[in-house]
Amino acid sequence: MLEIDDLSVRLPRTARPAIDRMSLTVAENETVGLVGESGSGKSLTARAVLGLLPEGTRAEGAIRMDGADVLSMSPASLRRHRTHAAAMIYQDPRAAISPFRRIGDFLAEILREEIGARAARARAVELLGMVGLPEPERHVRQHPHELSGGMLQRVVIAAALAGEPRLLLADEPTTALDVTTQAEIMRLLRDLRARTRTGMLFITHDLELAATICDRVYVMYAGRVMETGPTRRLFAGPRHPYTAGLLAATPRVTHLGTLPPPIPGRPPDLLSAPPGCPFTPRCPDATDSCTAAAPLLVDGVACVKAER
Amino acid sequence: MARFLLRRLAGMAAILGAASFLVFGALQLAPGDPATFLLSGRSATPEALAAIRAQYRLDDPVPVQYLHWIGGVITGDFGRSVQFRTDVGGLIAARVPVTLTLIGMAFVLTMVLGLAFGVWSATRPGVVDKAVLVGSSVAVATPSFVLGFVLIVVFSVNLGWFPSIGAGDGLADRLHHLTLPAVALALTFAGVLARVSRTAMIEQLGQEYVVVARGRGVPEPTIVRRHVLRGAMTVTLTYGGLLVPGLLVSTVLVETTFGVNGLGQLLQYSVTVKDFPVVQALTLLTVAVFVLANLVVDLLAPLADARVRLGART
Repeated sequence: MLEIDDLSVRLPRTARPAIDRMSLTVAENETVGLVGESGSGKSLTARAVLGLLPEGTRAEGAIRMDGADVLSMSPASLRRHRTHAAAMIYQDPRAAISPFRRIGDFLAEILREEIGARAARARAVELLGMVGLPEPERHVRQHPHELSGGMLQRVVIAAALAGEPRLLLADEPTTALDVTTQAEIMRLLRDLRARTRTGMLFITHDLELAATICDRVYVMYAGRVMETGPTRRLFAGPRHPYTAGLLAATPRVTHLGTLPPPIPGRPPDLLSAPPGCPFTPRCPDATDSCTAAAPLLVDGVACVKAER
Repeated sequence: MARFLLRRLAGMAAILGAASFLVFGALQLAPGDPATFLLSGRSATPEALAAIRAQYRLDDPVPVQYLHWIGGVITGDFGRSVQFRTDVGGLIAARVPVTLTLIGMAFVLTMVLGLAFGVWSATRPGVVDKAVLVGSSVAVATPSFVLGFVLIVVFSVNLGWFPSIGAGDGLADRLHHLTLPAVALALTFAGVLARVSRTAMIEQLGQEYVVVARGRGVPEPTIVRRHVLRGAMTVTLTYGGLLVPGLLVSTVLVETTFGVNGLGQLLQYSVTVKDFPVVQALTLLTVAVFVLANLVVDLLAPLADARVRLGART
């Protein structure tokens, strides 16, 4: 259904592409994880799928939604794509909803033109009920500041469902929420998927969270896919040193009192273009051949060591 | 709500009291004597002069004069005009409709032009934005009476589209007469509003919820209307509150330029001839309009932004 094919995205005034020759697919009713550190290009990937790249950005390759290339869509079909094909769930619900307007206005905004104001309003109430808010009739008349963060994230999810999209792009949907709210939102996302059969691209920096909901996972680093595979296999036997490092750096309750080992160093910024594999400076297994050329993704892993 | 209003009305009374004191005191300090102006051109006997001074209580001590005046003001009596020899209240009331129409037209013009150019400037970075910035600078820097003369030369003398003097009779004729004065009055304020609203709208365009709306396929004109303009409403409302008294003060220049017999021209004339009761009443009226406009703005603020609560400092 969604097919990203050899996508490269270069932001203005940067030394290396923010997304570098990335390929990714999401099928109907499939949840695909996209994990990595901040700045690895996860969110930009989701924005690219909506055709929402910043001004002056150069994009190569293709993003196909049911065969149609998002990057070359006309403004009208791009708007249709954004309302009915793909919809995003945002990280910070309080920033995503205008504080000046009512919740109902926010939900109905994309429907008014198509089905009229009255029907859009009724649909807004229905959507709020779908995401499990207790008093939909009241909430549509409220302003965002009257709702809690968890409730607002449900509103954002309801808004994403408004156009009955076939693909949901969940960009760190629980990062801004506390743990119990996170559990509720994750449950809601899983139930919705079961009911609506939408595909979902789940973006997170939290590997364990990805493991709870995703069928397959892509691990991103410095704009490149480092490793990909079915969730179970990826976490049981990581083949890329970066995936292994990320897993080792995740804190676990079973190891009381011990801090997990961090990956030394920092991810490269967009102003430097290190040659070869971008992970080389931080990699425990790096050899001379790593800086020669960036390894391609072969058999689900992009590492010289794994190729041997 | 009731408590808020009571508190604000009490504050308003205090401000008007202080203003009345300042106005009265300032006029006492100004050089010149109303009686001399009244008799200008005629040689008056000292007895006649003394009679006039006694009639207008000009020989009383200043505090007594003030108390006499303010006592009248509280009961709605603003005294008698030295120059016109009629009630100040009636003098002002007769001119309110003309000035009110002029201010109303200028207010609408300012809002429409200011916001239109603000939106245009904010949504089209580059040449359009630069042009609007330069244009608004020129508008802000041009005094209304200079603009008034230019408008008269172009649209009255050369093109003959609009009359250059007077306020007209009947609604259509009045609007026709007041068009040029309203433009002259509005342009400076529209220039300021264009710049102020541009800044507010550029800030809105950078908000996450604007990006989100775009990502949901909301058409760009709808985004501008429902989010960008809406987000700039608090700023616009605040400016609107300053605009009303600002326009009232500026009518002094514009009404004089266009020979419109309204409150501004009355004030200008009364200052020249030292007609103290009229000047005092008009100044007090201006202060009252200023305070009232601010009260209205504060009452409307929760409508512009639901997070604002009446009487709270945010």
